[in-house]
Amino acid sequence: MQSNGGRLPAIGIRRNAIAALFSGPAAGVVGALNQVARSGFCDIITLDVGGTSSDVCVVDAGQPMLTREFKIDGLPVRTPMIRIVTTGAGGGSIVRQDEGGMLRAGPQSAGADPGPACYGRGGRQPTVTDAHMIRGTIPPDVKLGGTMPLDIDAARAAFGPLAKAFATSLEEAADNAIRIADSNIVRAIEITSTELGKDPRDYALVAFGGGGPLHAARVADALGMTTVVIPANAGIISAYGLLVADFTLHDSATRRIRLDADAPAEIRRCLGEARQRLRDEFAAMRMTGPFSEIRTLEMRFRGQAYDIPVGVADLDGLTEDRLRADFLAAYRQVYYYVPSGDTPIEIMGVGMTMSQLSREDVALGAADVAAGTPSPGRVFENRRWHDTQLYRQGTFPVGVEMPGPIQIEDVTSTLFVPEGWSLRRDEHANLIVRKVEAS
Amino acid sequence: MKLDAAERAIIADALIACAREMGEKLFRSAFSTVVREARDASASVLDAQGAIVAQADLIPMHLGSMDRTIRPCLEAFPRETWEPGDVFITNHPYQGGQHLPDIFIFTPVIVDDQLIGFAATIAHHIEIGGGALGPNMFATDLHQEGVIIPPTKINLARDWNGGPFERLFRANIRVPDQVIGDLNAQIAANSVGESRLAALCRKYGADAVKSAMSDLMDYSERRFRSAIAAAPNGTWTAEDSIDDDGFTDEPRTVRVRVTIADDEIVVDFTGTDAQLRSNLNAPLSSTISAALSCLKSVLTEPDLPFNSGCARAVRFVVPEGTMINPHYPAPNRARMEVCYRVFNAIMRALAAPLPDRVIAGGYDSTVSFSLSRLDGDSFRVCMEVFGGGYGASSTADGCDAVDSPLSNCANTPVESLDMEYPYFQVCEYSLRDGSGGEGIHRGGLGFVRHYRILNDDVQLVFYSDRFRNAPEGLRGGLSGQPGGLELIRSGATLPPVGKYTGTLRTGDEIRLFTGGGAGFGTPSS
Repeated sequence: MQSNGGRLPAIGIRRNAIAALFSGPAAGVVGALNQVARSGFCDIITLDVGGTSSDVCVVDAGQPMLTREFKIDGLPVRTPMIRIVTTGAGGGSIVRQDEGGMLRAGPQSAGADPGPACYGRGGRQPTVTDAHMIRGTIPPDVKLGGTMPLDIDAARAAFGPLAKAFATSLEEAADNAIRIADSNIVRAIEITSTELGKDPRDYALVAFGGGGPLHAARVADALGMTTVVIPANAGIISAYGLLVADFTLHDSATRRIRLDADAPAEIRRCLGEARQRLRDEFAAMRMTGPFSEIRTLEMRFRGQAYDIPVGVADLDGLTEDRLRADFLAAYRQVYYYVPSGDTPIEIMGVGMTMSQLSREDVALGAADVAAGTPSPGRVFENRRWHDTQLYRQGTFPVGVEMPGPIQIEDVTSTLFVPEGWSLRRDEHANLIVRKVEAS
Repeated sequence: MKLDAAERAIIADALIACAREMGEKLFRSAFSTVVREARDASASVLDAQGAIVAQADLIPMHLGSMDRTIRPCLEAFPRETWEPGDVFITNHPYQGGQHLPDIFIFTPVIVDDQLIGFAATIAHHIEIGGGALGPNMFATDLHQEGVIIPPTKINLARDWNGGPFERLFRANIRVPDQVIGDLNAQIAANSVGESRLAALCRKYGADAVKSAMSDLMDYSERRFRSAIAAAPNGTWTAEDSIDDDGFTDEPRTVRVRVTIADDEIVVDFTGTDAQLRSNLNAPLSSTISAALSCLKSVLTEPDLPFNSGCARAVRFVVPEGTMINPHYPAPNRARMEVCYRVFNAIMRALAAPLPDRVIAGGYDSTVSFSLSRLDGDSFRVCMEVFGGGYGASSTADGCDAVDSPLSNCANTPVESLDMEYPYFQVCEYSLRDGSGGEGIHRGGLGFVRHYRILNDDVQLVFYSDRFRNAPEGLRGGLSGQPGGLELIRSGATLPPVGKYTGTLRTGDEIRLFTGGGAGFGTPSS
């Protein structure tokens, strides 16, 4: 698995080991994408909430965004990788009042050991998971991973000092802590969407990891998103991604081409060379297609130092005017402003991604289970308690749309569907949560 | 309006994120190497009165005094005269600005007729006209240093984009495409900030956003004051000097008296030398930014959001007519050298009460290095700002070969210079062994840059400090080595200098060597 979300046979990755740097998080994005694509969702923002942090990624038309600007331990990494933004908001994130009196959640984390106070392993500091217990989004009788009971009294004891410091009830202190964690996640999504000229409202939020489904609806609401999808078997999404990813190679070359009437021919020539190089590379791995390709030009106004990626969908119909219009539109999306006049435009790089589709067709769906009877639950939100219907994952019926508040308990995660949202489980076993039109 | 704990934290975070995004977009859409690579630019969010609410952590020098910079704009143009599309622009050192290349743009954010605040950016522009190609080291008044923009209100639709203000300005600078391009990047960054702030108001309500702004300043003030209160009460004095006054070899001295009284600080510069005839003066805004940067870095944790709240806990006494608060029309292009001595003097004063929070003297000089050329009818200007080694601290060696603490610029990659400038090449870029002062912890190293000139008629302007006076160590740490520049012509190396203006020809070489920081603690033999 490569950081760019594509697989390669061992023979290919051996020659280019750096490509595997972020294979784990990339597999999560690819797994989630493949599973929800079965339900027709291809424009998605993935949200993976773990114990110490949350990862988010934007996927356009089935293609995860890539970046070449990444640093690890202070060193730049310039191989293309899936653009995942991480924020220090996870289940173990510690909630505290700082010395200026501001409420904070993370980035310090209680980790797994001692972990949140409710784990009963000696943790005394309040965490996001403890907050979920207090406000009931994690039901009090739940067993973590199916086996480990949680100690709600320890969670409440840990939040006592915070509630006192802010002169609120325990439940309100817990809810405020979750709002801060939600806001940290929202910020991470904004960094990779609104700040790049993308509108989150054009996407579905796909939440997984232990805490993703707990935060999803409120995060979506804050961004104006109206659809949340929880992929079936959300706990094994990364492993699934490893199984179903396409085989992918990238080629990029620095080519400084002035945008004029001759540019389209030159671009076609450069892309032709890239195509040949990629086919040769695949052939060396005994892969012969059929291949699909995505073409990207890195463009800028002459004199700038940063490029804007501009896709080339129609290679045959490529013209100077078309390129200029596409670049200016992309530029305006990011910067909200286009310099007037005739500042020259240039192409700085020509890139191609070539994929051979995976032949594995594995679905993650759960077996059909007869609809069960929910038990009553309750969740504290917006300064009051709400009664909920609490289902076990398998017992929520397929194809029926029900209004929130609903809680779905699973072995690895818990979903909370608030009031004003509805829930449906589709035939691929994905849970679809939608904002109900305001009445 | 009273916000709950979560709303207050969430909106505060969004305000800081807004400033950070503006800064990021400013670099990414800029045209000159000094903004796009060296990142000599900054962004912030101001409230409706012009107080600093949030800023991107970029150039410390730019930001501590932005509230002083906008004030004359607001006084000159009352609210009822504003029209949609208006922005404020200024670079006037004697009306709240710093030096002429630093141009400030303020964009009002108005939601439903209510003024919420301002999106503000500043960039160091690569050229600003004036009496020389590159910084005018012989200027004896401000007018010889470049175009002066007094606090002015322009309308983007009417006066910019080919309008009269842009035409007048363009005609008075030598590399208009880069400078106008960078100003456009500032305008773009401001409009990003404007739309983010407006969106926040739509989401939470304008009253909530305004309350969060004032809460955020109160928050920083509380944290700043509690940091001051944790330091011992008392009064300490210190001084530090620049090598010379720009025309003779006489050193000139900054003197400071710092008093900590419970949760307040008084910084009194009485006794500092008089204003200079050369461009080494620092206008008041620059002095205050330098002083606040030092206080913040010594006293507080790095995650304290800097804003006008912090400044409420500090009182300044800066006598008029000194080189750190000069009268018009004193020139001040090279203000940073004396700003660093302001920084060093306060750091030394605080070494007595807070020995574990200060660092030893670093090279702490701005090395301004510009190579320019007139090619036919078009000018090319390459301007870079370098530093050297940091001073060591009680816990670590000084950082090697970085820009000095007040400017925080990145270096311009040699590859970028190669693509941009055909008239010189960089032959060597290396750490300068032995330049850091020994100690239990060693001072940071300076670096060497060696250039070869590839055309005739290349104008070199170079100024720096700590060419004669090396930085001093703390607690027995040894001094760092001074820095300078050697010109190699026809195989002969000329004596090193600390400042230079002259015309170079094909085959000339320049060896620039910057100084190291001083050590901390007596070194073991």
